[in-house]
Amino acid sequence: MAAPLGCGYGDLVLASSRAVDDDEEEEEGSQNPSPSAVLRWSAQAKQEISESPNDCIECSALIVSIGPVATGFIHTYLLHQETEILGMIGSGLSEDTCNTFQQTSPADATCFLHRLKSAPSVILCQCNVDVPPEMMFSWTQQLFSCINIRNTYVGILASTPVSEYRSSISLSDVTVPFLRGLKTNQFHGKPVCPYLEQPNTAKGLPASVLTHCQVYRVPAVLYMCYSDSIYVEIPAIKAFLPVLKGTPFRDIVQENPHADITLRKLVELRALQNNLYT
Amino acid sequence: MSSRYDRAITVFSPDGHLFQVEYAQEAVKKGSTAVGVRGKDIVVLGVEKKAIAKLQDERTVRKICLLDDHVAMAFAGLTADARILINRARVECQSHRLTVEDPVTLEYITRYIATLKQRYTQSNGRRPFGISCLIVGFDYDGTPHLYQTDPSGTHHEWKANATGRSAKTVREYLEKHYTDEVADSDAESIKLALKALLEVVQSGSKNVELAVMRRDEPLKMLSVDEIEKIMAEVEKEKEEEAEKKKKTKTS
Repeated sequence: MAAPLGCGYGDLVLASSRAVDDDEEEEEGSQNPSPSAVLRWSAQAKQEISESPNDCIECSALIVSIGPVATGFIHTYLLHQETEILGMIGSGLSEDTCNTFQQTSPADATCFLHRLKSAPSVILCQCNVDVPPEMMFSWTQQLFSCINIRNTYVGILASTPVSEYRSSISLSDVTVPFLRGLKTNQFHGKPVCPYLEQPNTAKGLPASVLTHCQVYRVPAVLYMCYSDSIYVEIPAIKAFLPVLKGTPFRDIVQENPHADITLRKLVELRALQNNLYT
Repeated sequence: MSSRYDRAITVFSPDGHLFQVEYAQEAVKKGSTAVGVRGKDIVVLGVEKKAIAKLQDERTVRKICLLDDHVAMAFAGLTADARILINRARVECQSHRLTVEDPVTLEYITRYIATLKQRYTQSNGRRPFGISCLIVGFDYDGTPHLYQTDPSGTHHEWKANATGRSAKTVREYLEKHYTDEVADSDAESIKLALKALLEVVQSGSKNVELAVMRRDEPLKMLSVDEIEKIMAEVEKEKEEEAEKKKKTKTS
């Protein structure tokens, strides 16, 4: 039984040659200019924006959750109250991107902006989309484009694998999952968890949003959950619980008596597709 | 540093690690918990059942399987790897019967599985098996055994052990509560396996599967009713203990 060289090589990459005339039409058609993210408002939100004095939605608290663990947390502990969908941010036009307001299953790759009916100045952005790096800047720009952030507190929740966490302590001595925080200069409180130690950095979309807040002097706090599972698990979601005691969450959270049931359904929704491990 | 030495299985890192083997052990932790208890006259296997999709047939997702009439195995880790190992072990059990006219001993079949796993940590182009097995059964002379193997190819005999997600918690529970008295009683051994599993299983008896094997008897999978009956007993015992504690506090 012939086995390929066990060094990670062995993938054949077919290089395209400039010496050979490829079909030019095909090339032109397939090379779209790099797309940017687009924020689409619902009809009601559009009307609100046009009627407002500064063409903006008023917002006192903006919660941005990125990834299935963070969105699962917000879905369970904040979105059980009555909400309405204000808009969505679309990041691309490939076949599997969602660009409608109809797909509201929590496991779908969607990015909706919700608003709490009980607290209309609170906007929650649930981003379940894998935003590609080249779109992160435009995504962030779009998010803040029509939201009045002058008096806004921003909370960002995200999760990342614990294998990316660098520390002098051995990982077997740390209870996983755990939270680490970062904040902007304007955020005068303290995060509810330890600061993210050097040499670790926040990466990707959470970093993009936090940087935007730092540059535009918006008080913002980022909570990063390090978990050891690539799948959504209840301990990882519950690791975010201390966050509910801090700004800007504590003023808007309402007890959810069915939290455990919601969590279990959420985890099952995603776990049923996973057959790799038994 | 580790990333330079973890691509090929055959490469040691400067400090003596075989990273692929260690990563395989992480893959084991992704599987749901399996627990094994060896009693005097009984061996028990308990596993956390995976939730299955509505349209999926439950019988195809089995964590406990028979290797021979007198040998059963539970595993945690990569499903497909387990299937391959189980097939090889089953063939070996029959081949042994035909060749030496005796059923395999637990030690023999465990050593066979462990040797197979070790071979995959020492050849190029192959990755280790990402599963850890708990092998239980009775030898021909009637002694019960419980063995555990892991992706590195090591195997050890245990009185009680757990593998998979949260195995550490379950093992600590077993260390606290396993006694010779428990091992002497079939019912207590089964209860111990169930209680240990319930420490980490997320919800109730519907998510637990128990299998027992008694001397000279085939493997028996406990039905949902039987498991619920044992759970009710466990709950009653808990309540009685709580009552006792209250009484000693007030008196």
